[in-house]
Amino acid sequence: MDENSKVMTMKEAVSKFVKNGMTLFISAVWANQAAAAAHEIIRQGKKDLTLIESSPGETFDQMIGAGCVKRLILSWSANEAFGGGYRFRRAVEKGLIEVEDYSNFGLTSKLMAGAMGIPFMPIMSQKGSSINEIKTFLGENKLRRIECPFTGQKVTLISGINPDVSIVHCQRADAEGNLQTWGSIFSAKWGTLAGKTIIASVEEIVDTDTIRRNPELTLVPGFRVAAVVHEPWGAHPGHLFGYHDDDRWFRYMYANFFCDDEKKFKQFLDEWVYGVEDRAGYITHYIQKYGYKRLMRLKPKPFYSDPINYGTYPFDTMHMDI
Amino acid sequence: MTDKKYAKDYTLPELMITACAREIKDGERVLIGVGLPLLGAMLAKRTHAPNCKMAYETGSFDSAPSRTPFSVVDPDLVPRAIHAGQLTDIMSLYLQRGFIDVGFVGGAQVDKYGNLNSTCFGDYYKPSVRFPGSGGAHDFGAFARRSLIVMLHEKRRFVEKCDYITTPGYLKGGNSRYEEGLPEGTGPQAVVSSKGVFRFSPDTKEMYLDTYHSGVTLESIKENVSWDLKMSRNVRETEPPTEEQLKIIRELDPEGFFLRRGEFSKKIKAQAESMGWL
Repeated sequence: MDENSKVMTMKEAVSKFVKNGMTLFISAVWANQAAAAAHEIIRQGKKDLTLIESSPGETFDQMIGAGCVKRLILSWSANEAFGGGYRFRRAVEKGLIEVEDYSNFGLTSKLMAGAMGIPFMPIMSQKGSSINEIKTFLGENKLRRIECPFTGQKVTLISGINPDVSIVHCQRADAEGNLQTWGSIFSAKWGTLAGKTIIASVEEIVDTDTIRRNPELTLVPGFRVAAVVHEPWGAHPGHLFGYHDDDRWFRYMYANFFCDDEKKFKQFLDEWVYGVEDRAGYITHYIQKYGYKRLMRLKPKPFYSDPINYGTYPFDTMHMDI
Repeated sequence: MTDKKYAKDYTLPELMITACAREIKDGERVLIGVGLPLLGAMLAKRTHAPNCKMAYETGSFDSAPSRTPFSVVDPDLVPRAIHAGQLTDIMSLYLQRGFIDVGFVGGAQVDKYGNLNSTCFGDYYKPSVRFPGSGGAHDFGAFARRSLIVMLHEKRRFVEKCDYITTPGYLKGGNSRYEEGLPEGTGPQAVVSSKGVFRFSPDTKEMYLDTYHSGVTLESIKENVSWDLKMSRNVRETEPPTEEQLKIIRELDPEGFFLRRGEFSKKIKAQAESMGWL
């Protein structure tokens, strides 16, 4: 590894960059889910965090249940068709955490504004809704409603946000943190780019030439990334496009049999978070408990897209030789 | 379709899926969440609407999944899709610009003007029950030319006034939706509940009963609506699934994840218990 390498363990990345009381974007929708990072944050006992993400699944639920979270800025939280989300729901019902609600479009626009370095994003959504009426800890800084100065239309202005740290799990990066992803990525692009500091975990660390041969896949250039963590299966039980499928069965079990019961939830955390050293330990435990075959069934058969021609372009463009 | 052969032995979820499918016309662009509406859209595409294009807020447009997605983020929505983008692509370039014909939405409460609550029961700051929240529902309901509401039918869910409006329907009725700045011509087209199918009066925008599901009485529907429900002059039974539709629905969910939820849960639990995994 060269001196520009940002490669470190998740333990190092979280302890170096994540502090109590910070605002974090953690990619927690089922695509590009930074599950390994979330578990490390729980293990390190981080507190009073404000988390932001559009529609987080079980990773936020687990961080809430583990007591890491004070405030949430989101649009939705549960486990898709599997139901669940009960640590989140019970914590709100008991007044243990505060929530600022947006729509998915509103929430992602908030991250987009932050990522682009503008103070707000105008959207035509969230009108006629309690989302625009009711504000909690962000107060008047949640959003504003104006009439468009050009057309007179009613517009919602969503305030931008720059989380202290943004964490995402992707397919690959080089050692400098040039980070690539593919598939449908929900809010991961704007959420990651909005961050002041970016932690990326990846399935594979590749050389820079691999990055340069497919520049359109780049989500974040390396100069924005602070830490690169080589973390195979880092999104489990979410999928990582092209690498592994959603673990529907594992998710179903969590959503239906573990997250609605405090004792069962604690048992889950003890087993899958506190009981393992890191993500490699988590996967080893999965294999020991459920078998290698169940894990390997999540590997998709290859389905390659066609190579595209980028072309090479000559130095001499005036064609004086013709 | 010529000479429809109606199925005799079908379940309530299967009837609701068929009712959802019938609201989709061929060639339309449809934005869907997960659950019964998703099966409805897949059924429509395999029967009367082969050219409808399915979009998901994850970023996939005109996807061609080879299996039934359990999630709008299913990786199988990307291979063979026309466009794999991100949430803001679907929400702004397709939806906000007005290019989505149909959006499916659901909620824990609906009121007589089709406003929906999927956020909480009771006071927002001290909710008796917190639900997952808007997700894309608000945006679908705001911009789709026609939104279709799918609801479990209980009296506490069909309310005079929602505790929180997550997704606007016709707000206070009449023209109030458009006065609030929502796009002209958009709004809920129907509510498919577990008791019947409801539509909205063109002028007042008040919900009325259009059809009742087989075996459901008009009295039980009226009793389970918290306002004085109006009925269509030619109120009739909901059209049942055809044999062909029913066959396709069952092929879409062979494990019974959507169609036989209780049985499915028991099966998974029994296996996990026998292995000592719980």
